[in-house]
This record gives sequence, C-alpha cells and structure tokens, in this order.
Amino acid sequence: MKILTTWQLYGLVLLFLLGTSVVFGIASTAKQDAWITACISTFFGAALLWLYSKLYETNVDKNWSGLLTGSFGRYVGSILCVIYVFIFIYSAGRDLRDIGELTSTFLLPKTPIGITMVLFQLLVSYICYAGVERMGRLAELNVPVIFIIFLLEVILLVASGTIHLSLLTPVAAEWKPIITAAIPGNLTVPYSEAFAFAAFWSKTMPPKNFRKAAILSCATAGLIFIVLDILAISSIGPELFARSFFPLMTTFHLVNFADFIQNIDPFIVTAFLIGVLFKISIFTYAACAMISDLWKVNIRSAVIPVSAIVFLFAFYMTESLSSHLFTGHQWAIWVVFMPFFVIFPMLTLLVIKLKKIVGIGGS
Amino acid sequence: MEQQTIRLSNEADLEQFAEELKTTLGSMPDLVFRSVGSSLIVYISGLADQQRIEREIVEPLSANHETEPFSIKTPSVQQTNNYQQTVQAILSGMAAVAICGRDQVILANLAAFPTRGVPEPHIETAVLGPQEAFSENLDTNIALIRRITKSEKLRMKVWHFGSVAHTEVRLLYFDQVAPGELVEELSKRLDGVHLEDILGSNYIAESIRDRPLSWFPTVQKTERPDVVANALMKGRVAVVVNNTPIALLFPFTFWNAFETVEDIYLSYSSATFLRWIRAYFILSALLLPSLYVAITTFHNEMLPTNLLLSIAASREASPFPALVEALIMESIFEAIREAIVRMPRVLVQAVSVVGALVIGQAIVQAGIVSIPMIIVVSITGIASLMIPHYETTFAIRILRIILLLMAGGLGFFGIALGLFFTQIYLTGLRSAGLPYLTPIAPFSWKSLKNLIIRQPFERP
Repeated sequence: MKILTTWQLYGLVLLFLLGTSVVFGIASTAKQDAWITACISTFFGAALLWLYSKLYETNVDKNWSGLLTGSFGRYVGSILCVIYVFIFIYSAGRDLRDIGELTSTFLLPKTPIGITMVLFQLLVSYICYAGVERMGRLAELNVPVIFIIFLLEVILLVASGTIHLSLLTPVAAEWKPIITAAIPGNLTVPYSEAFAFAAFWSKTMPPKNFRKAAILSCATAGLIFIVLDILAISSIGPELFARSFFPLMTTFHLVNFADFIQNIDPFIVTAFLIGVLFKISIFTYAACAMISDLWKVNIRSAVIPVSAIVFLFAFYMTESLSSHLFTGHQWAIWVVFMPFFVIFPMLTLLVIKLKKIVGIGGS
Repeated sequence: MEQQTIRLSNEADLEQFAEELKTTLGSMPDLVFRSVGSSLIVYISGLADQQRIEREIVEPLSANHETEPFSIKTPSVQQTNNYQQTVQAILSGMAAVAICGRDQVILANLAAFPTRGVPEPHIETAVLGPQEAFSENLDTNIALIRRITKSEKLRMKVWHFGSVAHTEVRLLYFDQVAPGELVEELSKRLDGVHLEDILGSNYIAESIRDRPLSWFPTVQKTERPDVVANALMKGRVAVVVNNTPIALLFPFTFWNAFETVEDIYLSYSSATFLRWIRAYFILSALLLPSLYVAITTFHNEMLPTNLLLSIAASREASPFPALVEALIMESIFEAIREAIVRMPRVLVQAVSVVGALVIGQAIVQAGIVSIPMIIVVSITGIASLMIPHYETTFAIRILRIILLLMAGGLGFFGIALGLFFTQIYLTGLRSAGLPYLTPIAPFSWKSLKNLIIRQPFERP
C-alpha cells in the first residue's frame, strides 16, 4: 500500500497543480490583485485538499469508486463511477487541447494540432502504462528541473529590468473581483482538480502522509503562483495581464538579458510541458483506475482505449482557442469542476460521516 | 557422465592407464609421459613447470624407492582415483603421478601458464591513482583485490561454465556488508546460466544483467582492482571471470556512469569541479546537435540577431537542411571514432590528418556542411569522450541520434518528447534490484550529496 514516498507524492501533486495554470496565468480577471487572489485560493485549496484526505481517511483501502459504491449502493454508485470516468477523460482532453494550442501558438505553427496531440497522448499512455510507482519517480526527477527553471525565469526577468512594482497599485481597491476570481475560478482550477488522485489514492500512501504531501505541495504551488503573478503584473501591467491568452508567455517575451538571451518563449513553453504532462497523465490514469476498479480489469488494458477517447475529446472539443478558453472559464467550472470535484465529494463525506453517526454500518 | 575409476595394482595396469590417456588426449607432442622407477608422471609440457617437476617430483621419487606419496615436495597436492578428473587436471597444467601398487593418482599443482604480468590500466586511467589493472589470470586478479582489502569478510562463490573451456566464474562479496538478498539474487541468476562455452565476462554479463536488450548498461565493467575493492567495501558485489581482464560489478546505477576512480584520488574540490564539468558536457553530448537543429530550423527567434545573421551567412552555401548536415557530420565522426579503435596503432596519425584536414576543411569549402555545424559536432564528439563509463557512451550516442531526428521533425517539442520517453523508460530499469536512477528517483539525500559534491573525507 505504501508504494510512493512522501517526496514522490509531493512532486506528483505539485507538478499536477502547476500544470496548465502556469501557462494561462492564475486569476487574471482580478487584474493587479491577482496575487491576492492566489493567496486566498491557495488557502482554500489547502483546505479542500485537507477535506479530500478526510474523505480518504474514512476508508483507507478504498478508492473513489469504492467509496461511491459503498455510500450510494451498487447501481447508483456504478453509474456515478461511469460519470466520473468521463469527467476525468474530459479534463484530460481539455488539458491535451491546451497543449495542442500552446504548441501550435509558440512552437510549431505549421504542424497540424492533431499530430502534436497524438504524440503527446502516446507519451501519456506510456506513463499510465508504467504505473504509479514509476510516475512517482518521474516526478522526483522533474521537480528539481522545474525549480531550477522557475529560478532562472525569475532571475532573467529581474535582470532584464522589466519589473515595475508600481503597476501593482492600487492594492485591493475592489474586493469583488478578487473573491470571484478566487472562488470558484482559482479554487476549481487547479486545486479542486487534484481530486483526480482520489481515483487511485489507496495505491499511493496512507492518508496521513497523503495529507502532508498534498498540503505541502499546495503551499509550494501557491507560492509559485503568487511570485509569477507579481512578476507578470509588474512587467506587463494589469490590463494586458487580464486580456492576454497566455499572460506569462507575454511576460517572458520581455526577457532581454545582455542583448543575448531574448525571445526565450520556446524554451519556457517546453518547460511548461512538464507540468501539463503530469496533469494529463494523472487524469488519464484516474480514468483507467476507475475503469479497472469498476469492471475488475487490469489497469493497463484500459490505457489505450482511454487515451484514444481523451484524444478524440481534445480534437473535437472546440473550434478555436478563444472558444476553448471561454468554455473553460465560464462553462466547465460550473458544470464540471464545481459540482464533481468540490460539492459532490463533500456530500459523500457528509453521507459517510452521517452513516457512521447513525450507525448503519458505514463499512 | 560415466565415472571411470583408476586401478593401478601392477605394471600392466600402469601401462593400460598410459594407453588410455593416450587415446583420450590423442598422442600430442606436448603430452609428456615420464617413468621413474615403477611410477609414471604425466603432464603437458607447456602448462606445467618442468624444472619444478624435476626438483619436486622426479628427484624425491628416484631417491626414495619406497614410493611414499609424501616424498613429493610440491606444496599443493591432491589424490584421486577418478579418471575424468585426472584428465581435466592434466589439461589444466597439473602433473599426474601414477605409482604402481596404489589405486590413487597424485595430482600435483605445478601449473605455470604463459601469462602476462600486472598491466597498466588503459581504459580507466587515473592520473594520481594506482597504476594497476586486471590481467587474464583469475588468481592474479583475486590476489590484487585481496591485497587491497585484506578482510576476513571477503567471501567467494564458484561456478564453472562450459564443457570444453571449463571457465571459472567467481562471485565476490563482503559478508554482512553486501545485502543478503543481493548476493542471493545474483547467485540465483548465475545458477540459472546455461552457457556452453564462454570467452570473457560479457557472456556472463549478458546472461545475468537486468534487461539484457536495453541500450543502457545495467552492470559496471571495470579493469581496475581498486574500483572492485572499493565497490566491495561499499556492499556491492563483483563477478570475476577467468581469462578476462574485465570484472563485473552489481548493482550499477545511471549516475555511477559519471563517477570516475579519479574522484577519490583527487582533492574534493578538484574532484567536484571535474564532476560538474563532466556532467555539463555529457548533457551537451546528448543535446547539443538536436538543440542546434531545433533552433536553426524552428525557433530562429531565440538567437540574438548578430548570431542569427552569422549563422545564416555561413549556412547559405550549404544545400542541405540542418538535420541532414548534422546527420552527415555525426556519421563521419562515428566513422573516425570506430576507425581509430579498429585500425593498427601505427596508422592513427593518418586518420587524424584525413579527419582534421580533409574532412574538416574540405567539407566546408565544398559547401556541403556549414562551419557552425562542424563546431557543434566537434564539441559533441569531444564531450561524448568524457563519459567515464565506456558502455554508457553507446547509450548516449544512440539517444543523441534519436533526439536529433525528433528535433529535426518537431523542434523543441520533439526533444521534450524524446527526453520524456527516455525518462519514463529509465524509471522502470533496475540493476540487481536497485532502481536505475537511485539516488535521485527514488530520492536519497545521503547518497545524493555525495553525487553532487564529492564529500571530503573525515577529518580528525
């Protein structure tokens, strides 16, 4: 049961949380106060992860599918499981599409988006095929890389002299956009998405270590978001920050170090691929794990079909980048993330606790 | 196999024994039969030390007609009545003494093979370290290791492989230092080996290492006794094979490939400095050509304008895309490298001239390959020679070509894909039970800090 180490799970959750958020910027609707939003949502995100770990604690040897069938009966539970499989596949598809859009914007404008996405999903399939233990080792290998790259980015930006901290004022002039950007916006993406770990958490670590690793990585991710937000806003200003599709890419475009290191966006995008890779892999693996729990099949046999569906979702999901982002910001939050990753797990926790109090065999 | 016993009750039996040996071994010119009184000495002239036979066997036997076996002066003696064993002993250089009236043959170990002395290391050189390497003789090699370790904990297990060559293989480990499961695992693997005849340790390496088909070596091969002794003291396990100057060490992790023996013979600061330089250039050896191709083909904007212009100007003459240029240069470099290893030593000068002048100069003047590409491939070539572990070089070289192709097709995205695939592959590799990427994944700070900075030895 204890396959991973705390450090490995920390890396997995951290890379998962960084995922697409570092690309699209955190809480850009809050303009110059985005970093306050990042603070607040990190706090709530940690609370959410703590609640997830409480849910895990109720049944240490059961994954999310087991909890569902345990609390809602076999039939209702199974139907809910199938819904969750599609939710995970949809989330993976969204992130895969993000990758596709990102590469076609910054790296390979002439390559068809389908080809980059197929190749990337192949990589994801290989990771899922390798399993949780090797995923943990992969995370360990990449966490230092990510840290080094972020440090480099910060140094380069500061050294380029683009930072104007006055752009951060007025601080918290309006509280409403700050709060609405934090909840539901920033809370759902990325923090609530970490619920994907519920699909296979009994294969990772006991709840205590799980909680420790998850909350630690939540704090680290929050710190990185805050720093990046401050850097971005004070470099490109709140207006551009709010309007840009990829605010951080716009920021790093300003890097000009000694007239030699400039236009480093291809490098930055490639570094961002690490986080997104983990995000898609974990969503895909979560879907596979639910399928394997539900129909008692080997997890590996589910990888290829699930990956194929993820790719189809990603490919036919949307017409353009702007409609893709609009769906993500407006629709997916309320239809997918909020109900399925926040409300429903809380409800289940409540049901399980109530069952225990009433004493009708909370298994 | 039938167990033939030897009977030597009278002269006729002795005669018959000699005849039998002649039929078994064939009447070879170097097979010597020598009668001393009522006893017979059989040996192979090139393998046994004739002077010692004269002094230690013939003299006492002719002086003492009581035919006491103890009158033989050779220190290492055994008795047998097994015919096969006798034949085998003669073939491995012992002298068989058959004495009339005794049903036992005395086997005296007087082997004096033609061997070379302790050579200098040629593969893993160390400027300030000991200048000794293994030779082909197993006993010498073990003695070299023993001379360094001198520990009562050293244990050996012995295997013999092949019905013709009878090659001896020994598993060396330190009792209670090497983990029990490691020794057991390797013993099990060696038990499972069914090789007919082996010529060298690579036969064993390929049959017992993890994932024999992987490019990445999962076993360390070394020619240095100090490396083996050091590994044994740290709880690793060595396999020494007769007739090979190369010992095998288990387990072997990816990062071991970047440590040299020199590290422990240099001061910690110089060792650390060299280690970092090596790490940096090994990374270049892997990535430099693909980065160059990706940047010049797909991500031109990353280059500062001046550099971009000068690269573009020098690339103007070349008709090929950067990828093809890179492949041409890479293959030429690999060819030169292979030629230098294969050809007679006296011709090395010629290849250097052809390589440097003809290819370096002419290929640019002819406008086939641009100058920046030659610079990139040369740096890569030098960098790939810095990898201390010979077999890891191959893995890096193959990987470099694959990354180059992916960079030519998909730019940075391709490089990232290739690196990710490699990483996932490496997370699944193990060497004798130890994950291949230890101590980074799984993480272990204790050994990691020794990897990043060669820790200074303890001070009083």
